[in-house]
Amino acid sequence: MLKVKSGDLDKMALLFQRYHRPLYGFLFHMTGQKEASEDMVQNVFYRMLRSRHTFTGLGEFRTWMYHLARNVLKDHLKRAGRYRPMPEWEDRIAGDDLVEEQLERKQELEMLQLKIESLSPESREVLVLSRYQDLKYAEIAGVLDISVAAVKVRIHRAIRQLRILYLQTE
Amino acid sequence: MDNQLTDAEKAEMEQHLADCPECRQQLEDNHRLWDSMGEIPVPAPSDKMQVRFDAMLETYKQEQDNRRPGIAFYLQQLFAMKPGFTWAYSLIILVIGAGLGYAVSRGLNNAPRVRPPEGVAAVNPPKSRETDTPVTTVTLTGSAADRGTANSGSAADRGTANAGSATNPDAANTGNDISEKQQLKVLADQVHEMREMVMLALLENPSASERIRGVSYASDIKTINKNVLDALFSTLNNDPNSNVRLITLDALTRYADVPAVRRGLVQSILQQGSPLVQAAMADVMLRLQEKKAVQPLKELLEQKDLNEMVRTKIKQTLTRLI
Repeated sequence: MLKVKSGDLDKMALLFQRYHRPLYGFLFHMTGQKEASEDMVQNVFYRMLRSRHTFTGLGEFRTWMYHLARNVLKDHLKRAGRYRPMPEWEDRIAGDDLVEEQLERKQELEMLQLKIESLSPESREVLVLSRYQDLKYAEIAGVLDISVAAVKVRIHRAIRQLRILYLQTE
Repeated sequence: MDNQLTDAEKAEMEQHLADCPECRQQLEDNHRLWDSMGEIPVPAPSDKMQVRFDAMLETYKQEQDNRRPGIAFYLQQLFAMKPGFTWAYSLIILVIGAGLGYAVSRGLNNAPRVRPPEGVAAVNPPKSRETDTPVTTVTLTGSAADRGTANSGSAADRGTANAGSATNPDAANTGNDISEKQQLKVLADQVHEMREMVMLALLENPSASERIRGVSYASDIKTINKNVLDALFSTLNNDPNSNVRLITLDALTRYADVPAVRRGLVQSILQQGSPLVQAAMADVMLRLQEKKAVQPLKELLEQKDLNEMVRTKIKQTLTRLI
């Protein structure tokens, strides 16, 4: 990113190659929307280009990237307002010819997904960053601008909340 | 759960778990949940994301090439490197402002007061100057058109100069209505003309995003004239940026009812080199059911370096057009 900052804009293509999938994963987990997540990824990279001079190189690039992604997500949710389209998960856990056991597992995972969606955005975000984005507690603390201890508390609460919700349906 | 505990924390936890079956059960549940979460697959992003990113990067690079960094850019860079400079800069501006303000107020206080020439009263004009009042009103009112209205209006109100207006004030009002409508029309025309001028100027701008803005202005213009059409077609055929050309094609398609626009669009098919625009052209022709496009589309097929996907698309378009 420092090279991009110093004017080598072509290096942005490398960053896109490396990070667009995890970024898409984060935004998709937070919204459940394929198209909107793709738009937001594009938007995040555009903002990176425009505000490249604000990247100091002191922190991790990933932390800065998720900072921008959270802002883009916030704008998106504000624009979308109360209107929340149905999450597009239905065709993701694929397979028509599953044996009974697999079918049961598929339903379990779908149920778990629903429960993750029903968590508060704060809890969901911290779980997604930790479980799907493989961010360390210190990195999450950097992204959310909170202390590492606060991250641990949030993750603990989120997992407990999810466990209670999930076990209720079992 | 994802092994982020320190060794000491881990040891402490294990010791506690050995004595607490309830916590052991909870931890097991958590692990099960954590593993299950990992099994939920995420759909892969579509391939068009890469295409869109490349187009965005290319457009941005072109814009940057055309723009020389101004002082604001360097200041932004400086502030990003040393946030403390922001405060220093604000302080300097404040000091300069205060200094200027002080200097100006001192200058005003020291300036010699202007004294009126002898024989002319400075404050209250004599009553004999009352006859000048209408002239003053006219001067304040402004433009030539306004002046006409103000004259007739004030004359009618006073019932002095114009006998017709004095005897029939309604006639004067009707005249005012008509002239107001005329003024509105003139204003609307002027706004329209200005919009057109802004649009034409924007189309000449070196920045691609400004040119796109120009094209979007064209979409708002209700009655399109030859100047605008010429500018749009020139953009469609010659603009170096394919995004701008695509937007222009979209804008022009809205006026496809005009025969000249249709003709221009058909003629433009062979001028396009970018696969994206070629494919969009084929779509437009199909939507318009324009049979005259068959010949140029066939000629396009004969080009050897034509993109394979575009070739397939044009073939499909041709079978549906013929």
